[in-house]
Amino acid sequence: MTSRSAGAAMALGTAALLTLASGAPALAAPQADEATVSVLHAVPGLTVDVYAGDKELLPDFAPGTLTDPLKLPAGSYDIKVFKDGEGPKGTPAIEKTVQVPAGANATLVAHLTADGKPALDAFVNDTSMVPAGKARLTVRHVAAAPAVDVRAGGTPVFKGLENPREAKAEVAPGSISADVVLAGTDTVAIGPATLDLAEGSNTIVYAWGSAADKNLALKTQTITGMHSAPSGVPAGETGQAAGVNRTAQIGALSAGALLALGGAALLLRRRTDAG
Amino acid sequence: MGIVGVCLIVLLGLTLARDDSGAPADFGADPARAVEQAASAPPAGDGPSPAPAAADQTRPPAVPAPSSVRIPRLRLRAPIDPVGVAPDGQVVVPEDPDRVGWYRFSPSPGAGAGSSVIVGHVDATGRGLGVLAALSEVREGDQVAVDRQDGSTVAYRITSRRTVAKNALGESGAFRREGLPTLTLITCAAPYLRDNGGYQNNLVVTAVAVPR
Repeated sequence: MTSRSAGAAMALGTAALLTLASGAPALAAPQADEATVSVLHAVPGLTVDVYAGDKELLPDFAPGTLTDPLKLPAGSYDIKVFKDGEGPKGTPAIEKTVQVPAGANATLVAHLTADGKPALDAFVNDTSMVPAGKARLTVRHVAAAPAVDVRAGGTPVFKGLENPREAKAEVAPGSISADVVLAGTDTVAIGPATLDLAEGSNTIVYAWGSAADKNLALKTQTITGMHSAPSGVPAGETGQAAGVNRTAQIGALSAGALLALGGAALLLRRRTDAG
Repeated sequence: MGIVGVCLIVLLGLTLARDDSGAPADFGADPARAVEQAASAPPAGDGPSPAPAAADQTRPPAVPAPSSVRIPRLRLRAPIDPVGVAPDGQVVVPEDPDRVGWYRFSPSPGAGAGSSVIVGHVDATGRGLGVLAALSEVREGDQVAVDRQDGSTVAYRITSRRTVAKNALGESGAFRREGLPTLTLITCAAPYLRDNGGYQNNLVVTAVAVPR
C-alpha cells in the first residue's frame, strides 16, 4: 500500500470518527482545536489494521509506511492495532490511548520496544521556526536494538540514543551521509544513507526494525515551511553612496553658501555702480 | 542675471543637501503585502487549513542556478555568487562590490513561486561604489535579466523600489518563499551614520517575472 492510499483510507476513517462524535461541535471545530497527525508503521513483518475505538482507521497498513499528515480533532484516541483481518473483536497486538493535543503536529508510531515487543508512541514534531540558514534534524529510536549513536560523515551527532527516545539539533543544510552505530562503538547497525537536509525544514529519521532479525532500517519524514528570514543584509561599508561623509556634505554646503555670498556681493557692487 | 545666478547657486546648495540626507524616491506598491493577501485568501468553504507540507513527496525539478544579472537601461551587469547566512544570522554579501550574491535559500530565479533574493554592496572599503549603487536610478518598468548556469535567461520588469529600515527587512516579505515569482534586489540606503552601524536602511527593488 502506498502512503497516498493509506492517507486516503485514514481520511475515510476520520470521516467515520467525526460522524461518531455526533452532537459534538467537531465538524465546525476551529483550527485551534485540530491537530496534525501522521502515522508510521514500524513493526517489521506484520501487516495490520489500525482502529480508533471500533472504527477502522487504516486497513492493510504495511510495515515501513508513513501516512500523509492529516487534520484530526484534538482529543483522546483509543488506538488498537490488529494483525490484518483479526479486528476489531479479537485481541489487539497493540492498544494504547493516545492524547492528541490541539494545535500539535504529531507522528503516531507503531514500533518495537528495545526488547522486541510491539508498542505505540506519539511523538510531537518540532514545527517551530528554524533559524535562517539552518536545517533541523530529528532522530527517533523505535527499533528493537540497544542504545545507538547517530553519525554524520563518520562523526557522532547524537550519542547514546535509546528506544523510544528522540534527539534533535539545528545543523547546516545539505546532503549528509548518516549511519547508526551501537552506542560507543564503530559497529555500524544501519547505513550509511544519504539524507538531504533542507534549510528551514525538519527532517525526522526513524531507526526501526529489529537487530535480532537483521532488518534494521531508516525511514524519513520531512516537515517543511519553518524557514525564517535572515536578520539583515549588510550591503554597505563606507557611506560613499549616501553622498560621501558628513564632513564632505558640510563642505559642499559651505561652498554653496560661499558662492551665494560671492554672487550677492557681485550683485550689490553692480547695483552700486549703476547707482 | 545676478539674481538668477544667486538663486541657481542657492538651489544647487539645497539640492546637494537633499541628496546627501534623503532616500531615493521610492515607487510602486509593496509587493509582499499584495502577494500575501493573494496567497492567504481563504479557500472556498471549510477546506483544510494551510500547514507545513507533507512528507515523502518527490521534490520539484531543480531550477538552474543564476550566473549574472543585468539591467540594460542602466548598463548594469554583475556576476552572481551563491551566498548563505553568516554566523551572525545576516546574509553573506560578496566582498567585491562588482559582484552580487544570490541568497541560495531563496528560490532560484525562474522558480515557480517566491522571492529570489539578490544582494550586493552599495559601496565597499577601498573599492568605491558597488554595482548596485545604480539601483537608486531604476524606474518602474525597467527590464531586468537573470542569466542562468544552463545558458537560459529569466526576464523581469521592475515594479517597485522601497526604502526599508534595516530592522524591518525580515518582515518586509523580501524573503517569502511562496506567492508571485519575483526578483528582489537588495542593497543599502541612506542615511549613513558612522557611529550607529553605518547605513540605516536597505533599498529593496522588486521585479516581477515577465511571461515568455
